[in-house]
Amino acid sequence: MNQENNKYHQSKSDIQKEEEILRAAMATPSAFAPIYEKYYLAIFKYVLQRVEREDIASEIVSDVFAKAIFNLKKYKFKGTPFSAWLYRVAYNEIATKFRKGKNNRTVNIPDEVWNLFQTEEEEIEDHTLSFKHLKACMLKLKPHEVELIEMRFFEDRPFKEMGEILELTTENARVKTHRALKKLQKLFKSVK
Amino acid sequence: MNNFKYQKKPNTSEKSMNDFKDFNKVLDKHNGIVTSYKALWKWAIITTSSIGILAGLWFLTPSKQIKPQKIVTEKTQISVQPKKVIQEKLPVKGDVAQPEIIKKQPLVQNAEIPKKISKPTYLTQVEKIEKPIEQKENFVKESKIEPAEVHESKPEVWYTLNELPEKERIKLPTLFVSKTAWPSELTKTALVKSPKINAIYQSINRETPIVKGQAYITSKNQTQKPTKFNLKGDNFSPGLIRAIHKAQPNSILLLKNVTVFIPGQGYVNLGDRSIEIKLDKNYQKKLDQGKVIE
Repeated sequence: MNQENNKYHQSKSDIQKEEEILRAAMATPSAFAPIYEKYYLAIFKYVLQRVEREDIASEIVSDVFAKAIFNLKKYKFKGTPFSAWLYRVAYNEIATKFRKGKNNRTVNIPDEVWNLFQTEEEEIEDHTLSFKHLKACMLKLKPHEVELIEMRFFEDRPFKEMGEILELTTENARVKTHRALKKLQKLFKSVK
Repeated sequence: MNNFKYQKKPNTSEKSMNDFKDFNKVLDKHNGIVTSYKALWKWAIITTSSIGILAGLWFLTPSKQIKPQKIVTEKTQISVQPKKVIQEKLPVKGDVAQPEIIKKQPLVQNAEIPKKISKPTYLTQVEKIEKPIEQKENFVKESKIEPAEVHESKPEVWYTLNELPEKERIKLPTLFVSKTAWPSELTKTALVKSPKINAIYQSINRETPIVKGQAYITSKNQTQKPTKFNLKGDNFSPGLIRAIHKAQPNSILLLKNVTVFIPGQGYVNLGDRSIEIKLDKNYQKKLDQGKVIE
């Protein structure tokens, strides 16, 4: 799991400090700066994974934080990291932007995706999996299945975080991800 | 199936990501959102309050009602005049109702409709018939009012017709003869097939019973009074039906003093109705074939 995602698992004291900053930011928006510094990169990477270019991502990221500050009064302190709520705002903001037709929802596929298709019975020796082959398989998945694959295998997110972003239970996120992966592997075999 | 765009993940350094970091830009965007939100609320409140004010004014302002005109007919020899048939001069622009005018038309004072409606007004006693007629004679002389619909009483014709004008008819139940509302002419076939007479409040689909009335089969210029058939209930009497069968071309079915009982108002006279009986082709055929005995 990458370093950014380690931020999801925070200590209670960290969460408490975060809560104090957020309560101050509810009264004074400029007090939100520490939270912005803390989560800027994580949100940027999340958004960048889903758009074509960095400049588009930066616009969306600033919109995400602006809306987060505006809707801060709606945030309920549950003893969980603020990042999950931020990711939720980012998820909705991306969906709104693509619905308006300004940008295309993009899936940025990393190089090491061959392990997606590795099963217990079969090992893939040839790692030079063609991009076109994978694209053909992923195009046949439903949008929410692509999202699950992306979050779990491209971004290495824990199931708990995935559940909070997608408003699912942890177990549900796990089961759905497993089903999406099985479907992708089946498609890969059929195309092969 | 999805329509996403797939591309290879570009190598983006954290440094290049941090180059886009700008918290002031975020605060500016936040201020923009707050301003637009406040403007939205402001317009929503203004629109809602103006709609509420308009709706309140619309509900509170009373609607003006036009007072019905009262029409008077001349005195008749045979039939009893309907109580509500009173006429006044039409109001002229600039003509304000003054006490003097009202005095000259005492009929208005006497013909107070609410009082008369509350009591059963069907007249059987001679005294009662005489008194209102006498009063109305005086009023006709003094007020010099033209009657609405009156057949000029020729010495030859045995009857006079007192039909209610349309403006008065609207307030009363609709008179149906052979399923036709206020008919002026009916075919013989229709009368024979559906020998019915009833009065219905169409808006509430409520029938009011016909309690009294007379029917005659006569012609327009007849001098002799024909046989009278009483009207009671919804159906024509057998004698009336036979008379309809025997009716000559250009006969009329004359309904006199059709009286209904309206709960809360009492007995109300719907007036007279003259219905021309037309000999249709079907009936003529039957006549020629000898199926109908004249």
